Amino acid sequence: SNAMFKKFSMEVVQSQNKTKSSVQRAIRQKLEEQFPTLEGAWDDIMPPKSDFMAVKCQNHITLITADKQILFFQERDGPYSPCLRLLQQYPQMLPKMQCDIGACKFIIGGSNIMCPGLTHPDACMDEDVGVGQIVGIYVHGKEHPCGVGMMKMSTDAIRKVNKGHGIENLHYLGDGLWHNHTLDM
Amino acid sequence: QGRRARVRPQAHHIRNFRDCEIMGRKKRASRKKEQHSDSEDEENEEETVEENKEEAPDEPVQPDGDSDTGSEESGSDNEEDQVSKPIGVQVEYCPKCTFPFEYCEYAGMIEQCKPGLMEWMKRKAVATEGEGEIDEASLENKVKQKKKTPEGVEKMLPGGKVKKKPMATKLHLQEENMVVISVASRQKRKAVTSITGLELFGVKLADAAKDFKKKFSCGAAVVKTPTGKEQIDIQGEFRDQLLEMWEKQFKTIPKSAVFVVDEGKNKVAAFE
Repeated sequence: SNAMFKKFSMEVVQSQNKTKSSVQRAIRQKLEEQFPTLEGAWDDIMPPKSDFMAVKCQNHITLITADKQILFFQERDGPYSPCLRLLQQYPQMLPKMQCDIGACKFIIGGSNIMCPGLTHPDACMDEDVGVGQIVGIYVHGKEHPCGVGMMKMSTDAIRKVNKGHGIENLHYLGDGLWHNHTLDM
Repeated sequence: QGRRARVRPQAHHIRNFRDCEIMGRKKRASRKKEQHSDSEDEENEEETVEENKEEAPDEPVQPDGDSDTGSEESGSDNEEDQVSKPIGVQVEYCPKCTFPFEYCEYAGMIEQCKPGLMEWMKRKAVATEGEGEIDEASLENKVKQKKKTPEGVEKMLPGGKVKKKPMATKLHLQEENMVVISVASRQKRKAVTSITGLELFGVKLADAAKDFKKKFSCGAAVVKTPTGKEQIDIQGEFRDQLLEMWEKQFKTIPKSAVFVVDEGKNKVAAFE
């Protein structure tokens, strides 16, 4: 849902227990399946000896952390999304959806990406993806992504319809999670 | 061919003996390169992204998830696999606003970011070798953009919409303690009666607004003016009616302090 991390602090954290290794393995398995492009890098991202925790927060959000660094978040049982800092380190992990530069101010304000921003001549949708796919939000002229989103319409539909919300903005530069990315906030 | 490589538990992709052999070969090669030993070898996959795409035509078709098999048999056999894991990009973050430097302009504190940002731009220019001069002009532009557009000017929003900045309401300077009643036109036939300065005489604006609503059967609201003061807006034209009910309503306010804005936009003493 939108505004997920607009306000984010230790207050929303409900439980922080060290996860069982069986659960840990299951989560890591799921992550490896969802992000096959990170094959080989998992030991850098989540070292085997690190302090792995699946932290539960308000609004059915689960955070995956290693050594107090928040790496992924998940709403209910949905797909895992990387934290923006992690995505900036490994941009290949998500499909790139690039908007025109004018959208940047709004993305950083937390608003969703509207279709015209993606069909603009400066915009570019790297791959064809469907609804519900987690994507990286980029802006024309900038190297790094400024947001993590979920497709509300397929890339096909965005091109055809060109109206309405195209991508839901889950996590963006400067939101609560960006500033509080370690567990001891 | 009698040897059997160690097969992973979820090895769905292994359809024939040959796959096992290829896997075994790869495992042995990757084991040579391992610097540190981990408890479970199977989880140390060190193939690159590129190898996923390569598929020799004579190999059985493999599902996308696994990159191991099928990519090594094209032409010359490589005993030494090209094993390189994805390396994380080192992003440079501004120490002031925490954003990557290229986004400092959107963080709302560009003045503090400037010194670090200039340094970064210099370093980048040197690295790319192309632009020897620092783009100071563009940086200044970015800072200037933050200034507000003048009032009454149309602003182009992305997507083609046009946003008009409203003109500031003309406020008579209220330096002295006075209550001012003025009427502005809302639409062609509707008007708004505004009262300012009531709070200076200890009148609670919320209660006063409520009373006006009752008396005049209309909408009344407490509104903040651009200067920061508050005024009561009553929907309708009630200048005269207000003056009539003044004695009953606002006993505490001396009549000499009340002014009305007439057609000539002058403040006239309400009560003679």
